[in-house]
Amino acid sequence: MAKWSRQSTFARVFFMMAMLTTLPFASEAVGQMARERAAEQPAEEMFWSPAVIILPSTTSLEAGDLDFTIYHAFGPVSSGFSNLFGLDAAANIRFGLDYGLTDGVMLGLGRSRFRKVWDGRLKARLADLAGWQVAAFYSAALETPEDGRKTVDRLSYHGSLLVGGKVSDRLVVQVAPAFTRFVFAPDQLDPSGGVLISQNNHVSVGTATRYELTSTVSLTAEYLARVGNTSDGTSNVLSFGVDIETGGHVFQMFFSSSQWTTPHHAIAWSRTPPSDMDFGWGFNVHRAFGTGR
Amino acid sequence: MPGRRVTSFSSPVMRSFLSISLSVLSLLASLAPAQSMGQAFFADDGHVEFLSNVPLHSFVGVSEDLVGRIDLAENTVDFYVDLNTLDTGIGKRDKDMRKTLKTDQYPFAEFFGTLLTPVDATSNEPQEVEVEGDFSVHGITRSLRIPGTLTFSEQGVRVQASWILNLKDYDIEPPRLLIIKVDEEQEITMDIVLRPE
Repeated sequence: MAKWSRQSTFARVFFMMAMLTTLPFASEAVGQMARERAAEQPAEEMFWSPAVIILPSTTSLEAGDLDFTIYHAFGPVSSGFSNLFGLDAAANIRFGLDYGLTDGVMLGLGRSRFRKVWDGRLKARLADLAGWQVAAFYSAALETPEDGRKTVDRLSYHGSLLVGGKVSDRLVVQVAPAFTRFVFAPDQLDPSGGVLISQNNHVSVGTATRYELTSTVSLTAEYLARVGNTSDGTSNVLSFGVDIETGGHVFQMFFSSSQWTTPHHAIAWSRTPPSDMDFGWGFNVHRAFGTGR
Repeated sequence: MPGRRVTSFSSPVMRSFLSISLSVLSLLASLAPAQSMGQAFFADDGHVEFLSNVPLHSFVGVSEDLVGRIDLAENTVDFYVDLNTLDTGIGKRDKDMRKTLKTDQYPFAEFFGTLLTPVDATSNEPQEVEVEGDFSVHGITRSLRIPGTLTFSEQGVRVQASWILNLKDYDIEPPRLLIIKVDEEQEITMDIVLRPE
Protein backbone atom coordinates (compact mmCIF):
# COMPACT_ATOMS: atom_id res chain seq x y z
CA MET A 1 0.00 0.00 0.00
CA ALA A 2 2.82 2.33 0.90
CA LYS A 3 4.42 1.54 -2.48
CA TRP A 4 1.30 2.64 -4.41
CA SER A 5 1.03 5.72 -2.27
CA ARG A 6 4.60 6.69 -3.16
CA GLN A 7 3.86 6.16 -6.86
CA SER A 8 0.75 8.29 -6.60
CA THR A 9 2.71 11.07 -4.91
CA PHE A 10 5.34 10.85 -7.65
CA ALA A 11 2.62 11.15 -10.28
CA ARG A 12 1.19 14.25 -8.61
CA VAL A 13 4.59 15.89 -8.34
CA PHE A 14 5.31 15.10 -11.98
CA PHE A 15 1.95 16.50 -12.99
CA MET A 16 2.55 19.73 -11.07
CA MET A 17 6.01 20.11 -12.60
CA ALA A 18 4.56 19.55 -16.03
CA MET A 19 1.94 22.21 -15.41
CA LEU A 20 4.57 24.63 -14.11
CA THR A 21 6.63 23.97 -17.22
CA THR A 22 3.71 24.97 -19.39
CA LEU A 23 3.17 28.28 -17.58
CA PRO A 24 5.52 30.42 -19.69
CA PHE A 25 3.77 29.24 -22.81
CA ALA A 26 0.35 29.62 -21.30
CA SER A 27 1.14 33.26 -20.44
CA GLU A 28 1.51 34.14 -24.14
CA ALA A 29 -1.56 34.57 -26.22
CA VAL A 30 -2.21 31.63 -28.48
CA GLY A 31 -0.37 32.08 -31.76
CA GLN A 32 1.81 34.98 -30.58
CA MET A 33 5.44 34.68 -31.59
CA ALA A 34 8.36 35.19 -29.26
CA ARG A 35 9.98 38.57 -30.06
CA GLU A 36 13.56 38.38 -31.30
CA ARG A 37 15.95 41.29 -31.86
CA ALA A 38 17.46 41.68 -35.32
CA ALA A 39 20.84 40.01 -35.65
CA GLU A 40 22.57 43.21 -36.76
CA GLN A 41 22.35 46.11 -34.33
CA PRO A 42 23.72 49.64 -34.85
CA ALA A 43 26.76 50.88 -32.95
CA GLU A 44 26.03 52.96 -29.89
CA GLU A 45 26.57 56.69 -30.25
CA MET A 46 29.05 57.82 -27.58
CA PHE A 47 29.26 61.45 -28.67
CA TRP A 48 26.68 63.16 -30.85
CA SER A 49 29.20 64.14 -33.50
CA PRO A 50 32.57 62.89 -34.79
CA ALA A 51 34.32 65.62 -32.76
CA VAL A 52 34.02 66.36 -29.04
CA ILE A 53 35.17 69.97 -29.57
CA ILE A 54 38.72 69.99 -30.96
CA LEU A 55 39.38 66.33 -30.18
CA PRO A 56 37.98 63.65 -32.46
CA SER A 57 35.44 61.39 -30.75
CA THR A 58 34.91 57.64 -31.06
CA THR A 59 31.67 58.38 -32.91
CA SER A 60 31.86 57.63 -36.59
CA LEU A 61 29.54 58.47 -39.46
CA GLU A 62 27.40 55.68 -40.83
CA ALA A 63 28.00 54.45 -44.36
CA GLY A 64 26.97 57.02 -46.94
CA ASP A 65 26.53 59.90 -44.49
CA LEU A 66 28.07 63.28 -45.19
CA ASP A 67 28.81 65.61 -42.29
CA PHE A 68 29.37 69.24 -43.17
CA THR A 69 30.86 71.33 -40.38
CA ILE A 70 31.36 75.04 -39.83
CA TYR A 71 33.65 75.76 -36.90
CA HIS A 72 34.25 79.23 -35.47
CA ALA A 73 36.60 80.06 -32.60
CA PHE A 74 36.54 83.71 -31.58
CA GLY A 75 38.96 85.76 -29.51
CA PRO A 76 39.14 85.86 -25.71
CA VAL A 77 36.05 86.93 -23.83
CA SER A 78 38.33 89.02 -21.60
CA SER A 79 38.82 91.51 -24.46
CA GLY A 80 35.67 93.15 -23.15
CA PHE A 81 32.58 94.82 -24.46
CA SER A 82 34.43 97.12 -26.89
CA ASN A 83 35.52 93.97 -28.74
CA LEU A 84 32.13 92.33 -28.12
CA PHE A 85 33.80 89.80 -25.86
CA GLY A 86 36.07 88.41 -28.53
CA LEU A 87 33.78 88.55 -31.56
CA ASP A 88 35.76 91.46 -33.05
CA ALA A 89 38.99 89.49 -32.90
CA ALA A 90 40.17 87.45 -35.83
CA ALA A 91 38.22 84.21 -35.63
CA ASN A 92 39.69 80.91 -36.69
CA ILE A 93 37.23 79.26 -39.04
CA ARG A 94 37.26 75.72 -40.32
CA PHE A 95 34.99 74.30 -42.99
CA GLY A 96 34.97 70.51 -43.04
CA LEU A 97 33.35 67.72 -44.94
CA ASP A 98 33.45 64.14 -43.67
CA TYR A 99 32.08 61.04 -45.31
CA GLY A 100 31.20 57.60 -43.94
CA LEU A 101 32.85 54.99 -46.13
CA THR A 102 31.37 52.20 -44.02
CA ASP A 103 29.51 52.18 -40.71
CA GLY A 104 32.87 52.28 -38.90
CA VAL A 105 35.26 54.06 -41.26
CA MET A 106 35.10 57.72 -42.23
CA LEU A 107 37.37 60.19 -43.96
CA GLY A 108 37.27 63.94 -44.19
CA LEU A 109 38.82 67.12 -45.46
CA GLY A 110 38.89 70.54 -43.87
CA ARG A 111 40.34 73.96 -44.30
CA SER A 112 41.13 76.38 -41.48
CA ARG A 113 41.82 80.08 -41.64
CA PHE A 114 44.80 80.31 -39.30
CA ARG A 115 47.98 79.37 -41.22
CA LYS A 116 45.65 78.41 -44.10
CA VAL A 117 45.68 74.79 -42.99
CA TRP A 118 44.23 72.00 -45.14
CA ASP A 119 43.74 68.82 -43.15
CA GLY A 120 42.75 65.34 -44.24
CA ARG A 121 41.56 62.83 -41.68
CA LEU A 122 40.72 59.16 -41.42
CA LYS A 123 38.99 57.44 -38.54
CA ALA A 124 38.27 53.73 -38.16
CA ARG A 125 36.37 51.98 -35.40
CA LEU A 126 38.45 49.05 -34.23
CA ALA A 127 36.22 47.56 -31.54
CA ASP A 128 32.75 47.97 -30.11
CA LEU A 129 32.26 45.87 -27.02
CA ALA A 130 29.84 46.11 -24.12
CA GLY A 131 29.37 49.85 -24.24
CA TRP A 132 33.00 50.64 -25.03
CA GLN A 133 34.46 51.63 -28.37
CA VAL A 134 38.01 51.87 -29.66
CA ALA A 135 38.87 53.87 -32.76
CA ALA A 136 42.04 54.92 -34.53
CA PHE A 137 42.35 58.47 -35.83
CA TYR A 138 44.94 59.79 -38.23
CA SER A 139 45.26 63.21 -39.76
CA ALA A 140 47.76 64.96 -42.01
CA ALA A 141 47.76 68.73 -42.39
CA LEU A 142 49.36 71.12 -44.85
CA GLU A 143 49.92 74.80 -44.08
CA THR A 144 49.58 76.88 -47.23
CA PRO A 145 50.50 80.51 -46.54
CA GLU A 146 52.82 82.03 -49.19
CA ASP A 147 55.91 82.16 -47.01
CA GLY A 148 58.47 80.39 -49.15
CA ARG A 149 58.59 77.16 -47.16
CA LYS A 150 59.16 73.88 -48.92
CA THR A 151 56.08 71.70 -49.14
CA VAL A 152 57.50 69.07 -46.80
CA ASP A 153 58.13 71.73 -44.16
CA ARG A 154 54.46 72.64 -44.19
CA LEU A 155 53.34 69.19 -43.13
CA SER A 156 52.21 67.90 -39.77
CA TYR A 157 50.82 64.55 -38.70
CA HIS A 158 48.65 63.47 -35.84
CA GLY A 159 47.68 59.95 -34.82
CA SER A 160 45.67 58.86 -31.82
CA LEU A 161 43.87 55.96 -30.29
CA LEU A 162 40.41 56.84 -29.04
CA VAL A 163 38.92 54.77 -26.23
CA GLY A 164 35.46 55.79 -25.14
CA GLY A 165 32.68 54.23 -23.18
CA LYS A 166 29.49 54.74 -21.25
CA VAL A 167 29.98 55.00 -17.52
CA SER A 168 26.24 55.33 -17.03
CA ASP A 169 23.17 55.98 -19.17
CA ARG A 170 24.06 59.68 -19.24
CA LEU A 171 27.81 59.86 -18.78
CA VAL A 172 30.39 59.07 -21.46
CA VAL A 173 34.16 59.31 -21.05
CA GLN A 174 36.99 59.09 -23.54
CA VAL A 175 40.77 58.88 -23.38
CA ALA A 176 42.92 59.61 -26.41
CA PRO A 177 46.70 59.10 -26.27
CA ALA A 178 48.23 60.78 -29.31
CA PHE A 179 51.44 61.49 -31.16
CA THR A 180 51.85 64.64 -33.21
CA ARG A 181 54.73 65.62 -35.48
CA PHE A 182 55.45 68.90 -37.18
CA VAL A 183 58.12 68.42 -39.87
CA PHE A 184 59.29 72.01 -39.42
CA ALA A 185 58.96 73.68 -36.04
CA PRO A 186 60.89 76.97 -36.09
CA ASP A 187 61.89 78.52 -32.79
CA GLN A 188 59.93 81.64 -31.93
CA LEU A 189 60.81 85.03 -30.57
CA ASP A 190 58.97 86.12 -27.50
CA PRO A 191 57.91 89.76 -27.03
CA SER A 192 60.88 90.39 -24.75
CA GLY A 193 63.33 89.30 -27.42
CA GLY A 194 64.08 85.88 -26.03
CA VAL A 195 64.00 82.68 -28.04
CA LEU A 196 61.28 80.12 -27.50
CA ILE A 197 62.46 76.64 -28.36
CA SER A 198 59.96 74.64 -30.42
CA GLN A 199 59.58 70.89 -30.55
CA ASN A 200 58.81 68.84 -33.62
CA ASN A 201 57.30 65.90 -31.78
CA HIS A 202 54.56 65.99 -29.20
CA VAL A 203 53.07 63.26 -27.06
CA SER A 204 49.72 64.01 -25.47
CA VAL A 205 46.78 62.48 -23.71
CA GLY A 206 43.37 63.90 -24.44
CA THR A 207 40.46 63.25 -22.12
CA ALA A 208 36.86 64.07 -22.89
CA THR A 209 33.42 63.60 -21.46
CA ARG A 210 29.78 64.09 -22.34
CA TYR A 211 26.94 64.31 -19.87
CA GLU A 212 23.44 63.97 -21.29
CA LEU A 213 21.06 66.45 -19.69
CA THR A 214 18.12 65.63 -21.96
CA SER A 215 17.68 63.66 -25.15
CA THR A 216 18.67 66.79 -27.11
CA VAL A 217 21.09 68.63 -24.81
CA SER A 218 24.46 67.44 -23.52
CA LEU A 219 27.36 69.06 -21.69
CA THR A 220 30.83 68.31 -23.06
CA ALA A 221 34.38 68.95 -21.93
CA GLU A 222 37.84 67.98 -23.11
CA TYR A 223 41.39 68.48 -21.90
CA LEU A 224 44.51 68.12 -24.04
CA ALA A 225 47.49 67.37 -21.80
CA ARG A 226 50.97 67.29 -23.32
CA VAL A 227 53.44 64.78 -21.95
CA GLY A 228 57.25 65.12 -22.00
CA ASN A 229 59.04 67.86 -23.95
CA THR A 230 56.87 70.74 -25.02
CA SER A 231 57.57 73.88 -27.00
CA ASP A 232 58.38 76.92 -24.89
CA GLY A 233 55.46 79.20 -24.23
CA THR A 234 52.81 76.65 -25.17
CA SER A 235 50.20 75.14 -22.92
CA ASN A 236 47.62 72.47 -22.43
CA VAL A 237 44.10 73.12 -23.71
CA LEU A 238 40.78 73.06 -21.87
CA SER A 239 37.47 73.34 -23.69
CA PHE A 240 33.92 72.89 -22.48
CA GLY A 241 30.54 73.46 -24.00
CA VAL A 242 27.05 72.30 -24.76
CA ASP A 243 25.78 70.14 -27.62
CA ILE A 244 22.27 70.68 -28.91
CA GLU A 245 20.89 68.07 -31.25
CA THR A 246 18.00 68.79 -33.55
CA GLY A 247 17.00 66.59 -36.46
CA GLY A 248 20.18 66.01 -38.45
CA HIS A 249 22.03 68.98 -36.94
CA VAL A 250 24.29 69.17 -33.93
CA PHE A 251 25.06 72.65 -32.63
CA GLN A 252 28.13 72.79 -30.42
CA MET A 253 28.68 75.98 -28.45
CA PHE A 254 31.80 76.09 -26.36
CA PHE A 255 34.50 78.02 -24.56
CA SER A 256 38.11 77.05 -25.23
CA SER A 257 41.56 78.20 -24.18
CA SER A 258 42.68 77.61 -27.78
CA GLN A 259 41.57 79.05 -31.10
CA TRP A 260 43.11 76.19 -33.08
CA THR A 261 40.69 73.96 -34.89
CA THR A 262 42.82 70.87 -35.50
CA PRO A 263 44.22 68.67 -32.73
CA HIS A 264 47.73 68.95 -34.31
CA HIS A 265 47.90 72.68 -33.89
CA ALA A 266 46.01 72.83 -30.61
CA ILE A 267 48.52 70.45 -29.05
CA ALA A 268 51.61 72.14 -30.49
CA TRP A 269 50.79 75.85 -30.62
CA SER A 270 48.21 76.82 -28.00
CA ARG A 271 49.60 79.56 -25.76
CA THR A 272 46.92 80.34 -23.18
CA PRO A 273 47.10 78.16 -20.06
CA PRO A 274 43.65 77.07 -18.84
CA SER A 275 44.64 78.33 -15.40
CA ASP A 276 44.55 81.90 -16.81
CA MET A 277 40.77 81.39 -17.19
CA ASP A 278 40.99 83.37 -20.43
CA PHE A 279 38.64 81.51 -22.72
CA GLY A 280 37.26 82.36 -26.12
CA TRP A 281 33.76 81.56 -27.28
CA GLY A 282 33.14 79.38 -30.31
CA PHE A 283 30.65 77.20 -32.07
CA ASN A 284 30.63 74.26 -34.43
CA VAL A 285 27.63 73.33 -36.54
CA HIS A 286 27.30 69.82 -37.94
CA ARG A 287 24.81 69.12 -40.71
CA ALA A 288 24.29 65.52 -41.77
CA PHE A 289 23.31 64.54 -45.28
CA GLY A 290 22.56 61.08 -46.63
CA THR A 291 23.82 59.77 -49.93
CA GLY A 292 22.75 56.17 -49.45
CA ARG A 293 19.23 56.36 -50.93
CA MET B 1 -7.29 -17.27 -13.59
CA PRO B 2 -4.03 -18.08 -11.93
CA GLY B 3 -1.11 -15.80 -12.84
CA ARG B 4 -3.32 -13.19 -14.45
CA ARG B 5 -3.41 -9.75 -12.89
CA VAL B 6 -6.41 -7.59 -13.45
CA THR B 7 -6.13 -3.82 -13.07
CA SER B 8 -9.02 -1.42 -13.05
CA PHE B 9 -9.10 2.36 -13.73
CA SER B 10 -9.60 2.86 -10.04
CA SER B 11 -6.41 1.06 -9.14
CA PRO B 12 -3.46 3.19 -7.99
CA VAL B 13 -1.35 1.93 -10.91
CA MET B 14 -3.86 3.09 -13.50
CA ARG B 15 -4.41 6.40 -11.74
CA SER B 16 -0.70 7.06 -11.81
CA PHE B 17 -0.49 6.00 -15.44
CA LEU B 18 -3.34 8.30 -16.39
CA SER B 19 -1.89 11.19 -14.45
CA ILE B 20 1.47 10.83 -16.11
CA SER B 21 -0.09 10.42 -19.55
CA LEU B 22 -2.21 13.52 -19.09
CA SER B 23 0.81 15.47 -17.91
CA VAL B 24 2.90 14.44 -20.89
CA LEU B 25 0.08 15.21 -23.30
CA SER B 26 -0.45 18.55 -21.66
CA LEU B 27 3.25 19.33 -21.93
CA LEU B 28 3.41 18.32 -25.58
CA ALA B 29 0.30 20.29 -26.38
CA SER B 30 1.75 23.39 -24.80
CA LEU B 31 5.04 23.07 -26.66
CA ALA B 32 3.43 22.73 -30.06
CA PRO B 33 2.56 26.13 -31.53
CA ALA B 34 -1.03 26.61 -32.35
CA GLN B 35 -1.16 25.62 -35.94
CA SER B 36 -3.27 23.81 -38.34
CA MET B 37 -1.72 22.15 -41.34
CA GLY B 38 -1.59 24.57 -44.25
CA GLN B 39 -3.35 27.38 -42.43
CA ALA B 40 -0.47 29.17 -40.76
CA PHE B 41 1.82 31.51 -42.68
CA PHE B 42 5.05 33.13 -41.58
CA ALA B 43 7.85 35.39 -42.88
CA ASP B 44 10.62 37.52 -41.37
CA ASP B 45 11.58 39.58 -44.41
CA GLY B 46 8.61 41.88 -44.80
CA HIS B 47 8.70 45.54 -45.73
CA VAL B 48 7.40 48.24 -43.45
CA GLU B 49 7.85 51.99 -43.76
CA PHE B 50 6.72 55.22 -42.22
CA LEU B 51 6.30 58.52 -43.98
CA SER B 52 7.13 61.64 -41.96
CA ASN B 53 6.08 65.02 -43.18
CA VAL B 54 7.74 68.31 -42.34
CA PRO B 55 6.78 71.56 -44.05
CA LEU B 56 8.49 71.58 -47.48
CA HIS B 57 10.10 68.25 -46.72
CA SER B 58 9.30 64.62 -46.07
CA PHE B 59 11.27 61.49 -45.42
CA VAL B 60 10.64 57.78 -45.28
CA GLY B 61 11.96 55.24 -42.79
CA VAL B 62 12.16 51.70 -44.10
CA SER B 63 12.77 48.25 -42.63
CA GLU B 64 12.96 44.99 -44.53
CA ASP B 65 12.89 42.99 -41.30
CA LEU B 66 9.18 42.89 -40.60
CA VAL B 67 8.23 39.59 -38.97
CA GLY B 68 4.70 38.34 -39.42
CA ARG B 69 2.51 35.33 -38.84
CA ILE B 70 -1.12 34.65 -39.63
CA ASP B 71 -2.87 31.56 -38.34
CA LEU B 72 -6.19 31.03 -40.06
CA ALA B 73 -7.10 28.13 -37.79
CA GLU B 74 -6.63 30.25 -34.67
CA ASN B 75 -7.72 33.39 -36.50
CA THR B 76 -4.67 35.30 -35.18
CA VAL B 77 -2.54 38.00 -36.78
CA ASP B 78 0.88 38.77 -35.32
CA PHE B 79 3.45 41.28 -36.63
CA TYR B 80 6.51 42.95 -35.16
CA VAL B 81 9.61 44.82 -36.27
CA ASP B 82 12.83 45.63 -34.47
CA LEU B 83 12.84 49.44 -34.62
CA ASN B 84 16.66 49.51 -34.77
CA THR B 85 16.38 48.17 -38.33
CA LEU B 86 14.56 51.30 -39.59
CA ASP B 87 16.62 53.22 -42.11
CA THR B 88 15.73 56.80 -43.05
CA GLY B 89 18.65 57.25 -45.45
CA ILE B 90 20.72 59.36 -43.04
CA GLY B 91 22.55 57.54 -40.26
CA LYS B 92 22.44 60.57 -37.97
CA ARG B 93 18.68 60.83 -38.41
CA ASP B 94 18.35 57.10 -37.66
CA LYS B 95 20.18 57.65 -34.39
CA ASP B 96 17.90 60.56 -33.53
CA MET B 97 14.87 58.42 -34.34
CA ARG B 98 16.08 55.58 -32.16
CA LYS B 99 16.51 58.02 -29.29
CA THR B 100 13.04 59.44 -29.85
CA LEU B 101 11.49 55.97 -29.86
CA LYS B 102 13.67 54.82 -26.93
CA THR B 103 14.51 51.63 -28.76
CA ASP B 104 16.89 50.49 -26.01
CA GLN B 105 13.89 50.32 -23.72
CA TYR B 106 11.15 49.48 -26.22
CA PRO B 107 12.81 47.70 -29.14
CA PHE B 108 9.71 46.60 -31.04
CA ALA B 109 6.66 47.99 -32.75
CA GLU B 110 4.19 45.15 -32.64
CA PHE B 111 0.63 44.18 -33.40
CA PHE B 112 -1.27 41.12 -32.21
CA GLY B 113 -4.89 40.63 -32.97
CA THR B 114 -7.55 38.73 -34.79
CA LEU B 115 -9.04 38.71 -38.25
CA LEU B 116 -12.49 40.23 -38.21
CA THR B 117 -13.24 39.30 -41.80
CA PRO B 118 -13.68 35.73 -43.05
CA VAL B 119 -11.16 34.91 -45.76
CA ASP B 120 -11.14 32.39 -48.58
CA ALA B 121 -7.71 30.79 -48.76
CA THR B 122 -8.60 29.13 -52.06
CA SER B 123 -9.18 32.40 -53.89
CA ASN B 124 -6.34 34.21 -55.65
CA GLU B 125 -8.24 37.48 -55.73
CA PRO B 126 -7.21 40.26 -53.35
CA GLN B 127 -9.49 40.24 -50.33
CA GLU B 128 -10.25 43.31 -48.28
CA VAL B 129 -10.01 42.42 -44.61
CA GLU B 130 -9.97 44.10 -41.26
CA VAL B 131 -8.03 43.11 -38.19
CA GLU B 132 -8.48 44.19 -34.62
CA GLY B 133 -5.93 43.97 -31.86
CA ASP B 134 -3.29 45.68 -29.78
CA PHE B 135 -0.59 47.83 -31.36
CA SER B 136 2.38 48.70 -29.15
CA VAL B 137 5.26 51.11 -29.63
CA HIS B 138 7.29 53.26 -27.21
CA GLY B 139 5.84 51.28 -24.31
CA ILE B 140 2.26 52.32 -25.06
CA THR B 141 -0.39 49.84 -26.22
CA ARG B 142 -3.60 50.83 -27.93
CA SER B 143 -6.41 48.88 -29.53
CA LEU B 144 -6.59 49.33 -33.27
CA ARG B 145 -8.68 48.28 -36.21
CA ILE B 146 -6.61 48.18 -39.37
CA PRO B 147 -7.88 47.56 -42.89
CA GLY B 148 -5.71 45.56 -45.24
CA THR B 149 -5.59 43.30 -48.24
CA LEU B 150 -4.79 39.58 -48.32
CA THR B 151 -3.86 37.93 -51.60
CA PHE B 152 -3.37 34.16 -51.58
CA SER B 153 -1.10 32.50 -54.11
CA GLU B 154 1.08 29.44 -54.46
CA GLN B 155 3.84 31.28 -52.56
CA GLY B 156 1.61 31.95 -49.59
CA VAL B 157 -0.32 35.06 -48.72
CA ARG B 158 0.62 38.66 -49.41
CA VAL B 159 -0.44 41.08 -46.71
CA GLN B 160 -0.68 44.79 -47.43
CA ALA B 161 -1.90 47.35 -44.96
CA SER B 162 -1.65 51.04 -44.27
CA TRP B 163 -2.81 53.26 -41.45
CA ILE B 164 -2.10 56.56 -39.75
CA LEU B 165 -0.22 56.54 -36.48
CA ASN B 166 -0.43 59.62 -34.30
CA LEU B 167 2.78 60.06 -32.32
CA LYS B 168 0.97 61.74 -29.43
CA ASP B 169 -1.20 58.63 -28.97
CA TYR B 170 1.95 56.73 -28.09
CA ASP B 171 3.55 59.44 -25.97
CA ILE B 172 6.21 60.10 -28.63
CA GLU B 173 7.48 63.66 -28.81
CA PRO B 174 7.63 64.60 -32.52
CA PRO B 175 11.28 65.25 -33.40
CA ARG B 176 12.35 68.62 -34.72
CA LEU B 177 14.23 69.65 -37.81
CA LEU B 178 15.79 72.83 -36.45
CA ILE B 179 12.75 74.67 -35.09
CA ILE B 180 10.19 72.84 -37.23
CA LYS B 181 8.41 69.89 -35.69
CA VAL B 182 7.78 66.70 -37.62
CA ASP B 183 4.08 66.11 -38.26
CA GLU B 184 2.43 64.14 -35.46
CA GLU B 185 0.71 61.90 -37.99
CA GLN B 186 2.86 59.22 -39.59
CA GLU B 187 1.65 57.09 -42.45
CA ILE B 188 2.57 53.44 -41.82
CA THR B 189 2.63 51.02 -44.74
CA MET B 190 3.49 47.32 -44.67
CA ASP B 191 3.86 44.72 -47.36
CA ILE B 192 4.88 41.14 -46.66
CA VAL B 193 4.52 37.76 -48.33
CA LEU B 194 3.91 35.13 -45.67
CA ARG B 195 4.83 31.60 -46.63
CA PRO B 196 3.09 28.43 -45.43
CA GLU B 197 4.68 27.04 -42.28
